[in-house]
Amino acid sequence: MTKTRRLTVLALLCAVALVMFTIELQLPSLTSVPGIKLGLSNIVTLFTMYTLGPGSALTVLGIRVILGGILTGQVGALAYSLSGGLLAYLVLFLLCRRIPVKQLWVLSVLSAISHNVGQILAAVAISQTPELWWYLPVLVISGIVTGAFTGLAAQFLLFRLEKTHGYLFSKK
Amino acid sequence: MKTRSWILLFVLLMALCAGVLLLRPRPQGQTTVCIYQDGQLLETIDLSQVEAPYTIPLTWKGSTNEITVSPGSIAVTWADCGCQTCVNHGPLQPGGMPIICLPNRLVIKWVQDPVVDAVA
Repeated sequence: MTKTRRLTVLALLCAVALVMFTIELQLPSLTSVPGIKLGLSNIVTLFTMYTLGPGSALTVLGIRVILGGILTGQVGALAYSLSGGLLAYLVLFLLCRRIPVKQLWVLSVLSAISHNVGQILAAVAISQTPELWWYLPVLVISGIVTGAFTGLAAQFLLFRLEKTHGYLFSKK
Repeated sequence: MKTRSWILLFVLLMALCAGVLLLRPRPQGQTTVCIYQDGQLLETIDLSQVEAPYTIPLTWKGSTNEITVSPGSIAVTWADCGCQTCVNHGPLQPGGMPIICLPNRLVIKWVQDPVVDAVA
């Protein structure tokens, strides 16, 4: 893939992630527990990790978190999003070479759980409220469900595109 | 690891989390709540002493939460944060999780009743 094409694809992926993030915010909350959401934009991060590589995935994640926070007026929640996002990325980065694309949903679940752990860590540290740890079991359960959903979505997308645009893959 | 093993592992983890939630200690009979913002205690309210509903508007760094205190009940009834999690939480349930607004760093939680403390 040429540099220009790569840059264009990366810019498109950032835009798609931002749109998905913004649309998801307009949907009613699934529960009253802070931090529970589908995380649709993670489909884009997973897709980028397996097509353009870890560096590009970090770029998409960083741009989505920072611009998403600014565009949706949630700058105050940036610390939580960043801590969750970075921990989730770390798990993705460490395990993406060990877990094959056909088990992408597993990687997504592990990443979603890490995301929620990162968020709760930041929330406990910032709000100085240790009681928030009781949200962790709920967030682990939701991480498994939502992570499996977004992981399967990314997995189907990758397999579908492999048939039509096989050149997108940097590895399997 | 095979897919079936991963599924089993995640199901077990969910069961473990559900067990922890079910066995979570839920102290009953507490009537005192504390309101914290950015780690600072703003107010302590004994809900059993509240006779008529009133609201407390809290503004922090330009963002506002409106807390409604009623006899035996407290809830965030309005907030200008994007997520609205604190509003969707509803009233603070007996022995329940704290109401939290992460963007505005607001926490409302039960505390040990001062009278019970004094007796103990």
